[in-house]
Amino acid sequence: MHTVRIIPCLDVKDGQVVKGVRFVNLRHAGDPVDLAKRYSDAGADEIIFLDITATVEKRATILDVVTRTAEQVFVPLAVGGGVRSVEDIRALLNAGADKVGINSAAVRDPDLVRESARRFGSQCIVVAIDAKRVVPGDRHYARLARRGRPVWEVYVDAGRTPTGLDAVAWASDAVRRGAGEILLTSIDADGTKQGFDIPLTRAVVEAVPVPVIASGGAGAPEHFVDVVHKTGVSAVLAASVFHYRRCSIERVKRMMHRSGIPVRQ
Amino acid sequence: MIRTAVVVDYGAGNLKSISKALRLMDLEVRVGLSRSAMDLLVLPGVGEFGSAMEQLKETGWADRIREHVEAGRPLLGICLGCQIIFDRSEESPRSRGLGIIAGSVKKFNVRPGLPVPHMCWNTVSFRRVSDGRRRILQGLRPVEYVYFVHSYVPCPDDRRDVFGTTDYGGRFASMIVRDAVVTTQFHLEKSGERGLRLLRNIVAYLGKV
Repeated sequence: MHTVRIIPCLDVKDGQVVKGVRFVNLRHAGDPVDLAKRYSDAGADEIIFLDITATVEKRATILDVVTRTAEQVFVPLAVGGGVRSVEDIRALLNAGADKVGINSAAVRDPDLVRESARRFGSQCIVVAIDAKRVVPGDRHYARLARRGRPVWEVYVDAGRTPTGLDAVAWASDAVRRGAGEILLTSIDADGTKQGFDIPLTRAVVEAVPVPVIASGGAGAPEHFVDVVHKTGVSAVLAASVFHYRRCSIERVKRMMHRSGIPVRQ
Repeated sequence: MIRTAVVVDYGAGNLKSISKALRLMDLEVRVGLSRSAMDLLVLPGVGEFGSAMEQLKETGWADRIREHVEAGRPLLGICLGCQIIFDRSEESPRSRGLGIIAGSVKKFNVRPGLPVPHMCWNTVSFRRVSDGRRRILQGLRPVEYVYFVHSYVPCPDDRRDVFGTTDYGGRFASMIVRDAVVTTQFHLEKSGERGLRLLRNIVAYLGKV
């Protein structure tokens, strides 16, 4: 029986794990290699590193973290943040990553998705989308708003820059170009611990034929059950809820199992 | 007993994890196009059938792999490495595979709503066998969780070669064992502690056939 994946996400800044609320107010949360190992031992189905301050000068830092993690952790490892070129992707795969997430660079140069999928295979190309519900007052409100149904806009540069792109349409486009998976983060829900963005997640799951990872808003085991039941998402990602030990991966999986959701145990 | 392994490098991908896992089995591991004598050949996984075969032919590896297998020496294939051992694949209809195991590789044919690629942990159900292959299951449960990432499935002609099956919108052969050829569609090196245990058993089995 195929299972729903539970994925702890480690936001890495200058070689340390941090987690913010709504993309700001960063707090220190620990060493990435130690945390990755701890989560893998606790039953994490996959680990994601997000290099949130990836600058060209600091690129070596994340490669070193990936290399050291891949030595000790034998579950799938995905890495994103600051990925701009085929060479960046190759360097991460060579360091031991199984999948690479592309976010801003995919929006700016959609051919990067096609080219990297052709070279390395769709299975290792994850397109990461940060989406925010369009509300009156937004720069692109007039263009994006639809009567009677919600619309979400893609933001890039770690959630700072609105793009005018419809998130659901962009997800479909990214998959057509070769994305093997969509990592979908709700900017509205991120860090709030109030639960996942169900309408956004459902809209993207229905629009694309590849696995979708729901991200942003996890605060309790019930939230994981809720988003899977209501959207059929393939995987669920969380960060601070695990880092600050508000609940464990074991507890999340137990509750999912009891609710009839297949998980690896 | 197997002491050295050569991980064949046929294009892009993560060769580090499988190498690291093999080193945990106390094997001396060489990565790349080494041409020295070897005990175990490993075909790792990721990439595309056609370009993988092209690389293997250009570098002369395709013939060397076939000779290796014909001489009865051990081969381990993982993911794409489990697919190129067949005659052909729907992924690249114009390419010929290594033809080590008779059969073909087909595109997943699942109901709408079931995502492809099949990218998740799923169960492998091992076949009960009474021959020497049963050593592979030492310390394992009849059904184990392992990690998959693929869009195409192996379809061997001879069902006797099927050692494990997995259900994803229909049952497919996820592990094949015939003599000194062992292949898994799932990633042994990404399947946690159980995957490493299975890898250890496979290496021990291959050292004795």
